[in-house]
Amino acid sequence: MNREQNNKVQNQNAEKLKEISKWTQRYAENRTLPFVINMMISLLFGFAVGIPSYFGGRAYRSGNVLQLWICILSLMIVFPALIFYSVPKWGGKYIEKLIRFLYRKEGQVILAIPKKTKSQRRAGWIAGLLLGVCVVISIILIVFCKIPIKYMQPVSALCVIPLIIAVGIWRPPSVKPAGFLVWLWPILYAIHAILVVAGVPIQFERPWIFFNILIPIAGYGILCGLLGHIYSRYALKKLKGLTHLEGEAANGD
Amino acid sequence: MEIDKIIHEPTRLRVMMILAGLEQADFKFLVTTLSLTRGNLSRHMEKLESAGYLKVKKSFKGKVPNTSYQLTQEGSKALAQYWENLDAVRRSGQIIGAMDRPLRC
Repeated sequence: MNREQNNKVQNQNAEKLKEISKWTQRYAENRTLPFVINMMISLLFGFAVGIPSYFGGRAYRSGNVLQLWICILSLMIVFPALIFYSVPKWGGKYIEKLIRFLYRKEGQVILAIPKKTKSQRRAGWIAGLLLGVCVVISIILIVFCKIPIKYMQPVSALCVIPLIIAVGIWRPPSVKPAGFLVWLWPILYAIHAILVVAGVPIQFERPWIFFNILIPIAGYGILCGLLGHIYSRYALKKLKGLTHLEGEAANGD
Repeated sequence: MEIDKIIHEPTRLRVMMILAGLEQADFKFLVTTLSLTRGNLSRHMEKLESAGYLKVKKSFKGKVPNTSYQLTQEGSKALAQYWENLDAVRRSGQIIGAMDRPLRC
């Protein structure tokens, strides 16, 4: 290799090496399996509480005692399980173990949370304020305007979207990294709300009407989490490509 | 222009660059990402640690011991300085040993 070629290779390599930190960060940000698992469990709990509640109510009204007791017993099992899952010291410990197991081949990383700039802090406050305003508007719409139940998802979008955005901007330490799903998730939820208002038939009819909020929230969350996970595979592949030198003798000396 | 020889070694440079993008990473992550043997990586990590560029955290995850690494402030500064110096050397057209092998990607 002559000097000119050598210099060219050196320059290219140096530029690529500088990208290692960027791809490491992208990989770490998009390790979204913990989020996907938590979303799936939440969805399961949603079903486990919603289905017996609905059929229990129906059984009560029709006087079907056996069905009512089955529903009550189901809820008696589900509620302690929900409490167990919600307490970090109990269920959280097992979730943590499961996540460690899933990433056992890759190892563990903790993402550095960069200090927020003044404009980011301001954006966080604005998103928080917007959330407050939206909550008030949705309460007014529900209480005073008697919004039909089929519009509950668009009304809930008023609270859900600013909440996700506010959490994404503030990123409290308890929130695991979520990559781009923090932005994609509210966008999908908003599109869903617009489609509902436009009259597109994407809603559950009775008796499954209570899934109209649960399924879009969890469904789009899981979808975005899986997209994030796929992206983390790409980022890891890219990172491994950048960290390997052909024929390198890495002996520590 | 002095190039930091501890950082300039290809594997150590990559370790530093990975850690620069994170709060901390464990030994397993570095071993698998860099495709090194455990012994090999240990030697590099010892050198970086003795230079004061890394902080080591030893803990237990359940019953399994876990070693994590974090870049120190000194390490971050040294890395930034390294790139500054290296860019200056590159601009002057000198050949730099650690950069002359093609990357796989």
